[in-house]
Amino acid sequence: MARMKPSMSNALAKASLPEKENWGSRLGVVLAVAGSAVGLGNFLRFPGQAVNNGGGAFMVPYFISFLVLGIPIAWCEWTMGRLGGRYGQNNAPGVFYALWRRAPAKGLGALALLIPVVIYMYYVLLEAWCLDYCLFFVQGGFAELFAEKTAGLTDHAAVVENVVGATGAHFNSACGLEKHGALFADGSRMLWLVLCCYLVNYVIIYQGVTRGIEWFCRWAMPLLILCALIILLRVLTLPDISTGLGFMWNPDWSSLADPKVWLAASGQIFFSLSVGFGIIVCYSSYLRKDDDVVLTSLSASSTNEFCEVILGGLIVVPTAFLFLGAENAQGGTFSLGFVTIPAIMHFMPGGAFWGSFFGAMWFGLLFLAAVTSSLSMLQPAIAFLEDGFGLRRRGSVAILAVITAMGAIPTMYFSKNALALDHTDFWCNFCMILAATGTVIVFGWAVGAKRGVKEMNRGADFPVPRFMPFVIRYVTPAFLLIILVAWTATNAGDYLDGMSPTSRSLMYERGVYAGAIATHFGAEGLPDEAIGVRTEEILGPEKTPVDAAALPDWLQESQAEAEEARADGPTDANVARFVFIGIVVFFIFLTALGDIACRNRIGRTVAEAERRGVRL
Amino acid sequence: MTDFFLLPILAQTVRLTVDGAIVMAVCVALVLGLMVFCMARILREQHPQEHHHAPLDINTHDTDR
Repeated sequence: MARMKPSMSNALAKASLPEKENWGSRLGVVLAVAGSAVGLGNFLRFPGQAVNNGGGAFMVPYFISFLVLGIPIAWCEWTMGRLGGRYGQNNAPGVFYALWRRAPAKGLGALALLIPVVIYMYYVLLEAWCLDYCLFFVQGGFAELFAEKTAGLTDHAAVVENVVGATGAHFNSACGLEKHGALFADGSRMLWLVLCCYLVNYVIIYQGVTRGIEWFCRWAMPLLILCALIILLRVLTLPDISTGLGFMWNPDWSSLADPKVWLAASGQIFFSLSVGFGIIVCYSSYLRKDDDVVLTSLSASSTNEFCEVILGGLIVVPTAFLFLGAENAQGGTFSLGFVTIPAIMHFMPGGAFWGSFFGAMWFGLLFLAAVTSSLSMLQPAIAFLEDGFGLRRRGSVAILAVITAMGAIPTMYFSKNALALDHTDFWCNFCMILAATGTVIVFGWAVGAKRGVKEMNRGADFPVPRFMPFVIRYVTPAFLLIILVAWTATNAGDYLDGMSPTSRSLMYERGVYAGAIATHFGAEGLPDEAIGVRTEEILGPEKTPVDAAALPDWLQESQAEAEEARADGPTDANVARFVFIGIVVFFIFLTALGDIACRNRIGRTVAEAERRGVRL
Repeated sequence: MTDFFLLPILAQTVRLTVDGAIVMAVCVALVLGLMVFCMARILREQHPQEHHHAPLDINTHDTDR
């Protein structure tokens, strides 16, 4: 592959500025950044969000968000990263220090360092889930399970129920969702798979940016897309697939009047493009002074969109609806990914072999997508340890391995209902929106939108539109602030409640009764809304204690189970608190570490770069 | 595999409407068009760049004293 455009800059600076690693090729950096962005969210989260928020109509706010949110933030981050690289900084605290020497920059740098590291602590577990499912399909485990559960059944509804029930039970047991510590029990295969993924990630990342990340992404990304295209071809040639496509793509235009749809679309774009992570800043810092960022960034974003809209949008939900019906095609990310999709494979025409073949291929591609993403989560912290403290790669990798293990082990242990994972994910998402807002504000206001766009256009294949300074200065930050407020207002309540032992106990107790009530009235054919009304009549208003004496007789059988569930409340609330406090303490630690580095090694390197003429 | 698998669900079917087909086609075309445009430029420009800039890397020693 051709080398990137060689820089003519600063031959002198090389004398004392640290030796800088660069990307091997332009395609390599595009695939590495796209690999970072393409993950489970593209194939599982996007279709779920679209189908639950207006179907085809969802794409209107989605593309508007892509234009005014996704592309501008990505351009800002790419430009800031490349600029930081000229100061000898491949790490977020160093880049922010070089561009804006104010106290909030330290927090922003720490946040951009914290997010990928903390996400990695649970993402490695998701990676292992995908690998486990892939291997289980290869071994024919699902085919045997389905054959056992559907033997003698001829009624389609019963087949669907049993198959979905079987995949649900497998998900709970294989991924340790039934109780805390399940993954550490004797005979747990998942523990070994997590270790295996951990090793694979660290071995690749140890090889460095070019020989590790870029090398892996250059074969993994095309392979991933090829696998997805083969599956897509099979899906589009299924009989009556137009029903599934109709379910996913038929637009409900009235949904455009609902602000929640706009929030969901902008959130999807935001989380999908991996902006606000600190990863793009890190990756683009390995570019040379005159390397293009405009087309390169757009290429990475468009590859991500291809995987999301075309591969994600045409495969999962249409097939799930076709084979399993609307109820199973509208789940959340995990239920769609790890319960519905394995169940779909039972219904694939051609018998158990083809079901297992496509199942293994699907989870294999998800595994590759997860590895390319998790590699990108490790590099920013490694770069920080190298730039900030002069550590060699071996030392940085070893330290980071210990730090991420300290977070990954509790996340794996507190696996009941993916409790620790869920709470960590929530706080990381919150930090991401905060970091992205800060980054755009720094770019638009501290660096200056016009000056920033001028820098953006340096070496660009084509200039960014003239209105971009206005968008970066006003539109994108305003959009991000609205998302930050609306997203926090919508979601934070539940997670804060989850940290209270009383609220959590109550929630668990009511959950058991609500399930029993739904089963009771569901059997009588009552629609969901009517069941909701009856549930509130029986249990009283939400968040109030249940009056056990007033429960109907048929519900009193559930009392023991409800008591047991209630007793788990304090433990789980403590786990939620542990996650929150852990993240806050880690943030403070990273801010202090960033401050020390900026006062010493990073500060000296930046000063040296400035002395040699590097300026904004 | 079962030969009855589609029937019950097709009964409650939702066919792809003209609106749906247009939205789907436009989305696919937009995303595919953008990706092809970007990738074509990235791939096309790799080799010319190399040839264009390669001489700058060669030290001819013509300024050595």
